[in-house]
Formats: sequence, structure tokens, C-alpha cells
Amino acid sequence: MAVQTQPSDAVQEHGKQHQEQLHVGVLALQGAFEEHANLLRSLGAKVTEVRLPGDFAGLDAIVLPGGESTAMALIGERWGVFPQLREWVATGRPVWGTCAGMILLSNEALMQKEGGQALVGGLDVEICRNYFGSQISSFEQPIDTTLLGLTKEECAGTDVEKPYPAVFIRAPAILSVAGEGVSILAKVRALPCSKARLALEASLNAPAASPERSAKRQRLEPYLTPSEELPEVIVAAKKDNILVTAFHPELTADKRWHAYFLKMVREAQTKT
Amino acid sequence: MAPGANGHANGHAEAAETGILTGTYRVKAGLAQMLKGGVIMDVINVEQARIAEEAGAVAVMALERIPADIRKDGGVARMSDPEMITEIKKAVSIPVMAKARIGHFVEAQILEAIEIDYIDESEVLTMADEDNHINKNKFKVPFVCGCRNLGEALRRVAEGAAMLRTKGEAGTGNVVEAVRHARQVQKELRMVAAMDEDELFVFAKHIQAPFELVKEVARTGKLPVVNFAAGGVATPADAALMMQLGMDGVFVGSGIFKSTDAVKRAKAIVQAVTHFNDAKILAEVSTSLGPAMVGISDIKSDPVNFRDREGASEGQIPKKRKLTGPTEIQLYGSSWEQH
Repeated sequence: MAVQTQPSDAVQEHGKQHQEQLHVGVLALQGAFEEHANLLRSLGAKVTEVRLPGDFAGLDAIVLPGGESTAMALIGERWGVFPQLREWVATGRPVWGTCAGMILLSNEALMQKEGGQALVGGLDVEICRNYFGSQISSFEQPIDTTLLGLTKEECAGTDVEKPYPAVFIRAPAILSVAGEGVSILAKVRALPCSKARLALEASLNAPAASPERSAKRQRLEPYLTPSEELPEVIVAAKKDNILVTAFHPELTADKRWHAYFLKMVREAQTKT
Repeated sequence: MAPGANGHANGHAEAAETGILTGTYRVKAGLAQMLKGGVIMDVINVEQARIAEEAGAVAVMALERIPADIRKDGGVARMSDPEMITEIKKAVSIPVMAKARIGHFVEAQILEAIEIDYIDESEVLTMADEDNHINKNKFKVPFVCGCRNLGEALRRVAEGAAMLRTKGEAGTGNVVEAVRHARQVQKELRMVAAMDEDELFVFAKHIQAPFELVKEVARTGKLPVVNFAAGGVATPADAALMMQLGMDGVFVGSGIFKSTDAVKRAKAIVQAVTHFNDAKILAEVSTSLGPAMVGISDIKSDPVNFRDREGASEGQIPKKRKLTGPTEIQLYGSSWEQH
């Protein structure tokens, strides 16, 4: 669990490829930001912890780590970090959210605290916080990552043929994708927990125009009706320069998701 | 496996097909990692839980009496009524923790059955077993335990604790014991990291910790799990002090709801834990919070001592002496009865 990194070696190895060092900001209001920073450094990136608006200077990309999204939203609004993040995402700059970070990057979240919470937004998906239930239902599950199209060399020697050991902790899940251009990178099968089920039902009963409501019913029905096969939920997705994962790549020594993100950042740079 | 641990993953397909694992150590310790840099607040009802959530707490600890009142009222302190915990769980979206007595594994089974997110095997409650702590490896729900030093920290990790906190001295509003315990753990971590491999065997014996864990700490230079500050934090400055001493986050018990303006103080402490290294922000959030909890300045002569409660420490306890002043140190003991 304790991730040991050798930044200096990694930088040297990285240097051989004659690439310019990427500068990644990790939102450090609360949560597992240190774990992200260690993994990014081990892949040759320069990392800055982002707590205040002034910390955005010179960044190529930003990571929103796992933690409690409600706490991050409340801390982030006070000193103006959230408005800056919204601008970052709106201008199409690279960003990755894991777990709580994924919630923050979604346009709509179910199961919010009473009175709702602030989101950064950017990804037009419908997300359910805590879909799988309380801590006792937190789980590890191997997931296929062939869709990432990574090679072993790109992932610091990780065997990418093997399934990735994804860690889900009180995790959210994406139930539906609204906008165009969202690519789905990973799915798992699971029923919503009882609290999530209630939230889904409540959202169906919320007042809305009837065509909208029937579309919503169609989307959410599979999660509420028992059938032979468990419903599928999306746990990793990408749209343009936004990457989201419901699980925690920062909790494993396997670097493939971090490598994928850095590759995405480089591609974004060559495009502009 | 603990009773009631079956069927919790019933939202998922069969584990054999999908490789799904629940209740692993990585998942248990992982939740604590997600709480880092955050504040966990003691709450006694739904109203306080909502205040805590609105202030930006990363979790709440649901309990019937906060430590300051347990100190004052005395009597046997036990696990809270499951109904009260369940109400709080319904009211907030953040993780909910609850306390079980040291060694009372049935209280822990009950808390697991109502799907609490973390159990605090707490010295603030009356001990149920003076020798053995709960075998926390048997549970799918993770546990947090208190520690005064590296040895105690690693003994709890060996029993399965997935998160640690300083013991401090709960309900006093006085940070001195939490500082002592944080400094002690950090000092011993630095010591063990600097040691020759050959010296680790005897060091493990001295601190009464499992050798394998001592070896791991020597290799990584840090504790195997997250370590929060607890037991006496009352102000934003206290919280930031604990963070600068190397703690991963802060528990605030009586400090918030025993103060005059709980909402403002709760928010200020949350900000102080994120911006613990920024004195200007600390100054701003410390301004006009109203009076903090009154607290206890002379902890050593206070008749209640939570911090020295640990299983099987009786054999090593020296006879207690009558103390003559606040500077005299009483080392061990699970209660302050005079012998």
C-alpha cells in the first residue's frame, strides 16, 4: 500500500525519450492527493499540490483525487479554487477525476447531501454517488483495460495484458451518458445499494416534463427492475480531455491509468 | 469471518466468476486514505451531523455522549443505540463511524450488521476486556484505534486496525497529550528508519511490537496505515499544529459542540486542516470564533484517564503515587484509583 517511488531514476529514464517534462497539479484540498503525486512523479511528471488559485500557474493538467466530494466542494469554494477549476475544464484543458473527482466532474449527481453540493462539471453524464453502498460493500475487482490501447513500455513495465486490479471505495457509478463523444472505458455489473435505489426512485418521481420523464424512466429502469443479469454501470470514461474513473488508481502500484492520463495530456499538447 | 458479514456484497455477482473481493485490507485502509487531510467530527444527533456535513467534515462519529460529558458524568460508557446511529447514517452522505468498547467484539458485530463505515475501538468508552482488544482481522468493516507510541500503533495494526489516531486525552480541550503522542510516534518512526537492520529485533522487543511490522516500518519510514490526531483538539490552530507534526487528518470531539459557535468553529477547523501550512489563512479562520470549550488544563491530576487504557498493560503498571503538582508525571494505569 505504501507506494515507494524513485523520482530521480524515473526522471532519468524519462529523459531518454527526449520528452519535455509534464507539470501536473493535484488538487490537495483533502483526500488521497499524495498517492497520486507519488505515482505521477514516478512516471517522470513534475507535481504541484493545488490548494489556492495561485497554484494553477504553469500546469499542463490537473488531477482531482479520491476523498469526500462534499468536503472538497465546501473547502474549494471558499478561496476560489472551484471557479478556477470550472474555467480550466470549460477551456478544454486536461483533467482527471478519480472517485470523488469523478463526481465533481459530472454535470449531474444523484445521492447528494441534503441541499445539494457544488460540482465542477464538464462531463455530461448522470452519476450516482455511493452506488454500491457503505464501506462494507467496498470491493476490489479486476477489470479489462484493452480499450486504453497502452503498451507495456508506456506503463513503466506493467503487464497491460493482465486485468487491472481496480479498488472501489464507497464508489460512485455512471448510470447514463447524455452528451455526444463520451467513450466508455470500463464497466462493471452491480445492483444499486438500498439507499441509491431510493434516490433513483425519488429522482423518477421528481416533477419534470413528461417526455423528459419517460426518457429518464427508460434510462433508470434497468437499475430498478430485477432481471437475470445484473445491470451494467460505467466506471471509467473519457471525453476529449476529461478522464474519469470511479475506482482508485492511486491506491495500486500498477501505473497504467496514470500512464494513460499522461499520454492523453501529451496528445492534447500536440493537437494545439 | 464475523457473523453478519455474509451477503454484504449481494449487489454483485458471484465472486468466483468476477473476482470481486470485499473487506480486503486494501479496501479497509483505503477508506482511511480517502479521509486524509480531513476533519472527523463527534456528533450526538442528526442536527449536529448535518452541521458537520455542511461545515465540510469528511466523516462523523455518531455517539450518545461526547467525551467531555463521559468524563464529567462517569458511569459505564457503552456503544450507542443502533437506532440513533442509523438515523444519522440516513441523514448524511459522508461516512459514519461509531465507537465500540475495547475488547467488546459483539458491539463491533452489531455495528457491522448496521453497516457502519468505520468502528472506533475506543478507550473513551469503558473497557470491556482488560487483556484483549478486538481481533479486527475477523471483520469486513474497518477499525480505527488510538495509540500513544509506535509500539502501541503496531500492536493495533497486528490486530487488524486499518487506521490509527493519537489517543491524546479526549474531552479535555487540551491538545498537550495529542502532541505528546504524535511526537512520540514520529520520533520513533525516525529512529527506526535510521537503525541498522541488526538492531530491529531488540527494538521490536523493546516497543513490544511484531517484528515483521517493525521491519516494514524501517523499510518504508512510515506507518503502514493512516494516522489522525485526536484527543484534545479545540481550535483551528490546534488542528494545524497536529498536521504540521505529521498527522494525516484530525478528529474533533468535544471541541466543536462544546464551544459557543459550533458552525463557525467547525468550518474554521476544516479550513485549517487543508491550509495547515498557510499562517495567513490560519489567522483569518481563527478570527472571532467566540470562546472555545473551557477544557481542563491540569490533565495529570484529573481523576479520569482515558489514554492509558490498553489491553494487558496491568503487569507493567507501577503503583500510582499521590501527585504533588501538575509537573509530576504519572506513567501508566487504566484508572486513577489510589493504591
